[in-house]
Amino acid sequence: MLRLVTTDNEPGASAQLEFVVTVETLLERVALGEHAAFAEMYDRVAPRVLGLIRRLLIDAAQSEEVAQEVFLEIWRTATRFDAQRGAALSWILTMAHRRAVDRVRASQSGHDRDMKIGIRDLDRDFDQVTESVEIRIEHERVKRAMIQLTALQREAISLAYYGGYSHSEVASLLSVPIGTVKTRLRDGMIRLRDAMGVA
Amino acid sequence: MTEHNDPRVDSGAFSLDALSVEEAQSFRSAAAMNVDLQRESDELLQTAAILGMAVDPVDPPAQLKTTLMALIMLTPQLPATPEGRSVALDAAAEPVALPLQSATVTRKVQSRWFVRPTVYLVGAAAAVALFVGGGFAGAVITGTSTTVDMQARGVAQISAAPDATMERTAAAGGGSATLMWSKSLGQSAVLVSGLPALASGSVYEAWYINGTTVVSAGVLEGRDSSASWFMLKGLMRDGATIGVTIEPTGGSDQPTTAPIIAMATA
Repeated sequence: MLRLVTTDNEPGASAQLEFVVTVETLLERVALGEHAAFAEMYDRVAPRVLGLIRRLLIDAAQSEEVAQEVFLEIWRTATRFDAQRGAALSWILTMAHRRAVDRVRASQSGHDRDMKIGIRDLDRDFDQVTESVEIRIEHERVKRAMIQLTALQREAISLAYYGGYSHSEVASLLSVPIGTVKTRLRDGMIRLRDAMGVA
Repeated sequence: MTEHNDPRVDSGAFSLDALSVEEAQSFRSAAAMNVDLQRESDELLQTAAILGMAVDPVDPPAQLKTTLMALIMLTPQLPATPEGRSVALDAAAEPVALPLQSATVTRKVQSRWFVRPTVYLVGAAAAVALFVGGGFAGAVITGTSTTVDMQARGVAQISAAPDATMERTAAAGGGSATLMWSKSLGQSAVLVSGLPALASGSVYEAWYINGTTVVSAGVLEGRDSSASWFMLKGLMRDGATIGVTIEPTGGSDQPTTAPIIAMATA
């Protein structure tokens, strides 16, 4: 759970907690049909949602379309959000990632993407300089956790999550059998989960 | 997946959206019947979300919010699940059809716009189930939703039709239009979003086009053209293309300018 961020004793950790709680509270109000709460929730999370979608889709116009779908889905399904099972922002980003991947797979451009882009961009995910303190903290957290993975685990997870590649595409990109990819993805994600204190 | 395989092996790939649609469905079914697997799945999904939080944010264009605030007024929310909202973190696991999900094909305006553009079938028409919960763009900005007018009722009626269909297209010159129509009712409505403001003396006018027959479907006026629903006037005949042009105030009998929007309803 995200609230474990506070145990890291990092500057901004309490602000992070406050931010997360606020989104959850907003989501509860969205579930009651409050338009103003939706507007506020949107302001809070839209840059993150669009950032993630753009990371996968690259194309600005397509990304905005997908973001629109995601926020309509949030509106429709806020009534089903269960805070017992995860943070609001996780729920929202899970939705955004899934829809972005759906779009990657559905569009011809997705199939035609230069598979090498995924490889070339790998380092970007860890070495980007970013101005936001909040994002930099997450960034650092992910980077530190990623270091604990094997190279194969790290590459497979990055290609799948940041590149939107399916397990079979990852297998072909890394020249390993699909079964191996699935195992590495699971082992790697479990290791990340433990390293980042999600449980 | 066959039942001989341990579904657990797929939990990592599932959390990263790296499974095929069929595999993901098998995994969800397996997780729904296994508390431990469901917990692992929830945890890995949260872990994946943290990867998402490390991505640099991108500021959305203002128009996206304006459009969404107009759309949520027409979009019903799902009832909470009877058994106390115990739905997985990935609530989307439940197939939830969105009004625009299958309707985001963006088409260029045809150069000969009155000729019916290539037909795009918009699937899952039944997925469109909307109602009007409040007023329109004027009210959106202030966050109140008290104005329900005739236009709103018309839009609600279309959206309630079993064959209601929605499709979005880019407008030449900026902005976009989402068209909603029902063949059985012979009616349509358009949500314009981010259209440029017109100089005084000009208005947007909608048209129904069947072959070479072009009939006015009304002037889009009286509301903020940056994001509003407009009910189109008159009967939409089978196979009609709907167009929007810029005309002198008061409208024209026949279009006098090139269309900024042209959409086929066939």
